[in-house]
Amino acid sequence: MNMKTLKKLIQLLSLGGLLVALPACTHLEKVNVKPTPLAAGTKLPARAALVLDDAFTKHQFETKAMGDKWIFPFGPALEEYAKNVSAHCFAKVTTYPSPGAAAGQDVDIILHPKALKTEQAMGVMAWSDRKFVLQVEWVARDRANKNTVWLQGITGEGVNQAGNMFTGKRNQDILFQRLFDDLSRKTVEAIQNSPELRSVATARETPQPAANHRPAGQSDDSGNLSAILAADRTFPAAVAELGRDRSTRQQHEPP
Amino acid sequence: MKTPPFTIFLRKLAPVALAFLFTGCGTLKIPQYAGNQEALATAQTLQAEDLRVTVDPFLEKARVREYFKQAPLEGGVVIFHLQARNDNPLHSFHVQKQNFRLVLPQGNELGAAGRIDTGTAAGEASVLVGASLGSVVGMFAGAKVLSDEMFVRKNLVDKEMPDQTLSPGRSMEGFVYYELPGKKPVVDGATLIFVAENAATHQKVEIRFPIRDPNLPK
Repeated sequence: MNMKTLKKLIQLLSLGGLLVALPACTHLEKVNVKPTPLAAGTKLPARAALVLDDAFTKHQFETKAMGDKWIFPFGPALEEYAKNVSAHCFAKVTTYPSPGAAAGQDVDIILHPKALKTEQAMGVMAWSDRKFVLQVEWVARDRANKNTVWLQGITGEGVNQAGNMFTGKRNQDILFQRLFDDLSRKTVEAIQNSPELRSVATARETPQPAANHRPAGQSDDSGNLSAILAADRTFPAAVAELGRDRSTRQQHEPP
Repeated sequence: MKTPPFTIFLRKLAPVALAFLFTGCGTLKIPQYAGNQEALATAQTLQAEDLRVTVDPFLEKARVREYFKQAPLEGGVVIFHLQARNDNPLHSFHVQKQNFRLVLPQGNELGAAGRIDTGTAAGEASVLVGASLGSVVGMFAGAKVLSDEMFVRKNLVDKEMPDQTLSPGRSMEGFVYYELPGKKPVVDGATLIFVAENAATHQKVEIRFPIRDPNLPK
């Protein structure tokens, strides 16, 4: 082995050693998404409590390949998406950090979106499609946060060319915008087409009997109004109504 | 005689062209499942409280390879296609995968799998082998394997049945996955328990599907 070959071998070995010694990199990607413009539609006349917990607002997708790690922080974009969609579909929306904080508030329904799964797939070439899917589940519960009124899993998809070292970042921005546009439109469609959510809104629209008034009568002419009133009102109001009802009945009862 | 530069260029290009020919430069194409039309004799339909449910176990290797491009069962994942229709005119039902259970013949119960990790080991290994040999073709082929693995994982999410409230007159469909213990899991004799919750009464509706493996002799 001559000197030249030995020198080349040493160079190659040191280059290999350097590559091996290099630590695995973590790439923090940016998720730049604008709120999706949504087609004008009728809002459900209900007051919603939107729960945006840490699991949702800090959701991130991590993927590893060849020792490197890529992190996609979807949380802030998801938060904006949830606010945009719920404000578009409900008459009034108030946000809360947890289901517990939202329970018992002066609302008609509690909306709790959850980020379930994220996956990406891409081809080998710069012109190959790159795809992202994001699965979100919306759960609507009653104002006490006890019973589920409605739930729906929604999968949004964004597709764009992967791009090269010059176009890759821009293409990724377009891809994420398409992903959230798809997710937003599917979510609005699901909420607006839900008979369960419509019935909550309808129940709110239907005028409730006031605490100091009695309804005209029962549809079955039973005349037993006190039990229904007591069930629908707060406890002191119901007690007061029962007292009035009893005294009224006593006055009208035949001897 | 000196070789013309264009010939040298073509010779260098040849392995890359070969790589294209062998691996294809496109992304992996996985067809959508057409549903009931392709359901085999293994599919069963049962009904409770006007909730009509069809379960089709994907236990035939050919179908699994066609719609999932891998043999998940060999890797310990069993796949079921579910269709549900709510014929109840009054009540809605909450259908959530977490409530379904697969009772194995050995008696242990499994819940629906969350994220199925199909791994990237094969793709990464191919890329590394290609790189270590200094072969562009090897690296390209490895990257293609890695890409295919990503599409297989994404396909699992795409086809998964979403949790939802099934309103009167509506239907839903999708796949449910179970990760089985052991290397050669047995599902013949297992029972898939479909559970839905009546949205008004909050009572559970339970339908039991006995599973038979069509690959086994009758």
